[in-house]
Amino acid sequence: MIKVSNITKTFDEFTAIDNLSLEVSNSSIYGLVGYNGAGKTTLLKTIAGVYVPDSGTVEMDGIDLFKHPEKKQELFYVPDDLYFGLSSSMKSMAKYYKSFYPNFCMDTFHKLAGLFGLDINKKIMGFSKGMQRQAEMVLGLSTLPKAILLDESFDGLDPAKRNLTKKLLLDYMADKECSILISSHNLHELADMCDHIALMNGKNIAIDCAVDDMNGSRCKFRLAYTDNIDSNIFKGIEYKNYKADGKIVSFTVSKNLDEAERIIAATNPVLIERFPLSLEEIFLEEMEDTDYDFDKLFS
Amino acid sequence: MNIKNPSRKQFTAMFCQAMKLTSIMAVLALVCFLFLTFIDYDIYEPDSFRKAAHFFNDLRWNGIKYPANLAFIGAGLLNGMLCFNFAWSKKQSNVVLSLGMKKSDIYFAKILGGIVPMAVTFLLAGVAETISNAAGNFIVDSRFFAMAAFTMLQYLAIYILSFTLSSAVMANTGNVVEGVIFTFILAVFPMTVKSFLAHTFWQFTHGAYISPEGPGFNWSNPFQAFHNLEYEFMQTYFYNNSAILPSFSITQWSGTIMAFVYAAVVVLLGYLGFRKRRNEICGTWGRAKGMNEIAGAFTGFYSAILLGLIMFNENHGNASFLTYLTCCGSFVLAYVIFKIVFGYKRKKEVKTAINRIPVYAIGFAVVFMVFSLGFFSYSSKIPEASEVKSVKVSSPYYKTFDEAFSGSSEYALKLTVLGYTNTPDFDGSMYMDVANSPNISFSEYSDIEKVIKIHESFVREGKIKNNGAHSCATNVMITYTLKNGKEITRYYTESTEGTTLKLLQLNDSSEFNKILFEYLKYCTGFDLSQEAVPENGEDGYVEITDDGEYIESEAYEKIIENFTYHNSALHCLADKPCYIFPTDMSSGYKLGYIEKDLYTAIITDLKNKTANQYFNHSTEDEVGVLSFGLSNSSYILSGSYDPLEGIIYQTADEKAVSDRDIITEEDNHPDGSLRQTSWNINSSDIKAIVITKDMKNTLEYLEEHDLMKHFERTLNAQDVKSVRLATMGELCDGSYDNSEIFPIFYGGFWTSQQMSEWVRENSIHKYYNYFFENIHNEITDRKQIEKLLGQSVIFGYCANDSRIMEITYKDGSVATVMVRAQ
Repeated sequence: MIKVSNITKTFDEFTAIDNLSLEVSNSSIYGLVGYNGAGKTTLLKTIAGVYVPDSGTVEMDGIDLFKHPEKKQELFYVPDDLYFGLSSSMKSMAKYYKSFYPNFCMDTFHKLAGLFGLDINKKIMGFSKGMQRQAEMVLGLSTLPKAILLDESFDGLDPAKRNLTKKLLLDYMADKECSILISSHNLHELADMCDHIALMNGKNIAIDCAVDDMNGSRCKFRLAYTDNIDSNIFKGIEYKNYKADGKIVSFTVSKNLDEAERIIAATNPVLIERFPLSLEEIFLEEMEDTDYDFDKLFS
Repeated sequence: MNIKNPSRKQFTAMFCQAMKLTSIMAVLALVCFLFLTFIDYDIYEPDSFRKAAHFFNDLRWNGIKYPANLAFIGAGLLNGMLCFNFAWSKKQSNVVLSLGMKKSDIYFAKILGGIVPMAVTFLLAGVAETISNAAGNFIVDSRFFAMAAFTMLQYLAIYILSFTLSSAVMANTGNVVEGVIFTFILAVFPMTVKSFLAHTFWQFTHGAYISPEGPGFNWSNPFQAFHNLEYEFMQTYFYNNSAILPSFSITQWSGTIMAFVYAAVVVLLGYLGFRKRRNEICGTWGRAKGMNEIAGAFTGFYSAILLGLIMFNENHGNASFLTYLTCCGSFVLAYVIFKIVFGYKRKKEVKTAINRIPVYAIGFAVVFMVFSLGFFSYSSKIPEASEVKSVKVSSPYYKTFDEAFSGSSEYALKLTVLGYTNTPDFDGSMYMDVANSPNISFSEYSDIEKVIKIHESFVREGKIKNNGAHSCATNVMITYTLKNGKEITRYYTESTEGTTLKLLQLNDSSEFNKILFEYLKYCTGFDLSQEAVPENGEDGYVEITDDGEYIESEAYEKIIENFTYHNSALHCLADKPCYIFPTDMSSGYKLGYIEKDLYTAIITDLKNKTANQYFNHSTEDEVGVLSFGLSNSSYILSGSYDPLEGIIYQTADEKAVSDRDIITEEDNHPDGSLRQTSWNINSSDIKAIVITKDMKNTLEYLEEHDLMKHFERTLNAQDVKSVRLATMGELCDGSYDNSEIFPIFYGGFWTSQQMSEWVRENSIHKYYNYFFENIHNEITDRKQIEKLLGQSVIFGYCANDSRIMEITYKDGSVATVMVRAQ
């Protein structure tokens, strides 16, 4: 289990993460979503110990990783920017990691490499970007970690390898009760593999809940009226993305959905349609309140 | 899945990784060592004098030791960069820092991994060397091992220091360029600290004395192997079979010791920095704040030393607020430029730097204050007379009037009065070379007390402005040898006139007379302390053999046996006879080699002479000059002199004339000059005694021998065309004040013929000197000239209110005299 408590990380005057907390349970895949610069990589690097936080703690199975960095031998960080020695092969990298990760399993390594069809004697620098990601994944899983940090690790993978990787991670998670924290821009990928998701909205986490809960927690209403209506009639509903197109009105609601529906019904619409929001729509809705206001930007 | 040997296993792994990286250099070094060991194995056979053939021997040669020195520095720097290259690679640092290792383990594993391979190399090379020596029947004993350890540890220390410095800097910077530059900046820190302390001490502390550079404890340059190792030290061991290896002193080990000490400090500081390192600096420019500040401050510090202390103020010698401002200004300039160049957010960096400047300015102020206020009673410390075994007073250097004659260095008769000489080999650096300086050493209690009183006077008046109206350039070094064996040395470059006059009172001491005696002995060849004194020949002079190099005299042979410097004595006897000059110095009478009676008379008179009589005699007191050391064979303008025949062969008409005749002979020179001596005087070796009326014994001798007539002036006021007056400072190229020139004046004279010759030799159109060029207050009024001549002397203490007067005679010759204020 990874428990991040009140982590704050600043770069000079810029605060990348502000008092952020999250928890990744055992046998759980925790998805981290956010726009560019939201602090996902910073958070992962801080958990991995690459960055030193200004304040806060990171615990793994109740052990403070900053005070006991040796615990990190059970944690593997797969960064966005991969590093391999200039003339390293997967085999030599396996030896390297074996010396630092005592649980490194050469059998697993050989099996996984075979599964991905990677030549362990070939120089990794000669691999394609996707193959290098596969190689890193193979090496990481071979350390038999209790926690894995994956930063945009599906980038560059073809669909087949992506599915294979997902399946591997899911199996590994289930088998080893592993905690996986994964960041990605691809919401669909996270939606179908994460059991928990957090939306980073710059410095902090805007949404942090189980994927199942999230799916039913927000919805979009589309209403039709016989006449033009005033938005004031929806008083009492916390809505967003209000759009009125003649007699057709739409908006999203993120709280008290049933109560909202009751209020809407009281306004006597001709038609009420209620759609659950996809993760992408939720992400975009949260983006609305950020500086990325594209409408204003180009108006 | 338990954590297995978390630290030991991973530490070992990191250590091995580092060893892999650094072993390339180690293997290269080993190959070079083995090459040196075996390359000359067959060439040099063991013999009676050679004890070790190979690289221990080879490493002492400059051709190998300096390149080796540089190679190990380079290897250390490179290995440090290799070991900590993750610090400037974001990709690598993601891997390394996410490993389950403490930062301390990462750091120290890499440090050890960089040191061990090279240490093993030295060990293996040493073993190979030992085996090869043993196999070659060379001597392998404890001395061999001592020498081996001494040799190898020095290079290993250099490597380790370079490696640890490079590692520590790399571990705390964000990119390799910064790393290399900052490494260099930090590497020279000890050297610059030494320079700073030396210059600050010298300029700010009253009485500061800095030993000349030489073998000493090497704390400032640990990067130089063999810093204190004399060539002969090893030469003796290797080539002298019976030689016992001298024991290695702490001084000889100092470079090695300090390299290890610095390396340990650097490792510790590097670790403290690395532990707090924020890895976001990785791969960026100017974000390593701590290292950036240190390197920036060091750069400013170096600038303050170079510009503030050395370039602008070294020769100035004044401890002043201006020096402080110059240092601060230089510091700020370099510091701010550094911040601009190495700044991440430049405007902010500069703003922060400016806010920090007062802190550094206060730092400089504190240091300068400490040195100015006497450096913890250094300035005021004077030993009790009872503690002192002996005290030496010496004049290591002073600026003389020589520069007054700039452009005419062969000023015909430039007196250097006995007991005083300048040391023109002074190199301008702050280190004093006293090797050629006149020294007076006192061991009598009363004399020691006298020196202490003078020293007290120096201390009391404190550091005075050396261009003050009432200060003098004394340049005196006082060295006490205490009864407990310790030495206390203080050096003063200026003092008030009062203290200078007190200092001159030392001439009343018997010790000073001994110095005069030594000079006379050197110039005349006489040594009254010897039983054997050269007898005069029939003509009153010592005979010279055909080759002119020694004297056929049993008495003189005895002298040769007793003289430790007999070659010089011979030279003087053969080549430097005595001359008599009147006070106008226009023409000399060659007295020849001095007789014992005259010599005795002079010694007696000088011993009886007080300092006041010596330096402050009046115009009326001056009778003339007895000069020794005039070379009449080496510098003939219009003829050649044959010392064997004692005659001059005139080149104009080939007429041979006696060297005695020539003194009075009038040469009808084309320019119509009144009197021209056709010989020249090599002024460089002149030692002269100004004869004054109080020198009764000397005058009595001269009268008895009818020599007083030669003191009659031939040039008087009516022969003067004009005079010009200048202060001492004006004469020394105008950039000095009176107080910067040693206030003992001695005059000079140059004939028009000599001037013409000088003009011809230098291919210039007319004669010039500093007086001619720069002093334009020409006085032609006869009455004024007479009055000035009536107050002039050719030697003496030149107070600040005295003036130097150059006289231009109608015949074109010039003379320089001193006019006292009254």
